[in-house]
Amino acid sequence: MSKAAVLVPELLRNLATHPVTRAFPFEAAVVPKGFRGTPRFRSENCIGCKVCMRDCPSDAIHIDVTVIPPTEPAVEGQPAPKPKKKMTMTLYLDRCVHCERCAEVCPKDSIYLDEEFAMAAFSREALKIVME
Amino acid sequence: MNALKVALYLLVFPGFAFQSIFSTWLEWLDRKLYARMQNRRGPLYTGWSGMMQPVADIIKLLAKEDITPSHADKKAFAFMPVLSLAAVITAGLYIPVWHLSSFNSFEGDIVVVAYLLTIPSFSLFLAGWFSVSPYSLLGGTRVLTQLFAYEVPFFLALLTPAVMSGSWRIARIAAYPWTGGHWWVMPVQIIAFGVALLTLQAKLERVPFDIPEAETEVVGGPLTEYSGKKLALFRLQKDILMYVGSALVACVFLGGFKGGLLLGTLQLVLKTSFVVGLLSVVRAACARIRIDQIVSFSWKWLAPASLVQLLIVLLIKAKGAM
Repeated sequence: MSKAAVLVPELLRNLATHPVTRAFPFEAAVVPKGFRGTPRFRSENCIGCKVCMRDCPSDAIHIDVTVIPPTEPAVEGQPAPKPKKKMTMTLYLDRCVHCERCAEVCPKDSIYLDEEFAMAAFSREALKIVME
Repeated sequence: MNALKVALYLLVFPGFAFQSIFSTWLEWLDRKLYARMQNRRGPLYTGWSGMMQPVADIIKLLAKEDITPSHADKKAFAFMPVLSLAAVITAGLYIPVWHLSSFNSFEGDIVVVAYLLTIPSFSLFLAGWFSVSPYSLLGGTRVLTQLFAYEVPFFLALLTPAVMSGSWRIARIAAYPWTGGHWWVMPVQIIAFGVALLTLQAKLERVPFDIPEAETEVVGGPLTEYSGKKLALFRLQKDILMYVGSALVACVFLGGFKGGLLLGTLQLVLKTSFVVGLLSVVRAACARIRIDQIVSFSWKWLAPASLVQLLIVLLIKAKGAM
């Protein structure tokens, strides 16, 4: 209490200086390097091992593996064409804690976190993101 | 016609509508200054530079669910916000707004205003009491303890300009420094002005005197159980209390002059904003102190300081009489 007066000159000086905070949402916010935003999915890299799904602490990831049968007919004397796999990641943003564990454990680097942080929505359904 | 005029005074200007609008503007000013002193921006989004944010906050509360605790005294619980709001609005009617004299001014109105400004503190205590919750009750008892600490120095500080001007009428006290070359009374009363500012801060339960509402200890203090419309009324009451308290301190210590509707209102706006600015500086410079520290600070420093100021004023008056 006795030292309160010491602060007054600095407080008054601050009135004349620019604020250190940004005028978000009117000014774009710059996120720092290494910021953990929204998890994104590179389906072409995914092998469907589901290790991200297993390790997610908040159960926010679901990986669906759809087997697509080969369209070309089998040619005699040649190995039969292999069925293709289509990977789909469903992200539940309302549960995600942005810990980046999914990106860390992925052996094929198929999950990364971008810089998107404005994720608010009016319904839970809007926070369910399906990525292919 | 007269009844219509009085109704306009009570409901529009300088009554409920003016007090609500000006007090929410003062809250914005306080929040903005407080933020800027901390190198933040403060309210930004609603209205020009966030000016409508306090209004938006109150509207939001009005639309929220209103819950009354099952064990609470329901009628008394609902009555307390109305009582405290009515008390501060009534007190505000005695502040000389656009003229030297308010429409209902009389000799002794400063005493009435000082006592009307005590009702919100009692309402807060009773709000905590009727809520029947440990946090509310604890917050309520802290409100009362704090009231006994700051009320006497506050009254003593208000006494100084009254003694100096020889009147108990706010309008005459305000006119005194600006008439007959008595401008020197303003610097002479600086101690009482300081005491009035600090005790007003305690009356408003703002930092460093916000121990009744210390979130980390007693959640929301006496208002813990309040929500929705009732909390909105308490919120508005707090804003109007800040306006009335600051305007009262500004009128009695900074004086006022006959200015007509525009100039008169402008001078009230400016001097009240100046007092609110000083309150913001106190708020930004201090940290919360304990209830025992408030009591000892008030009785060891503030009360003796106001008595010394009173002595100085009485000596000046006696010298003038000789």
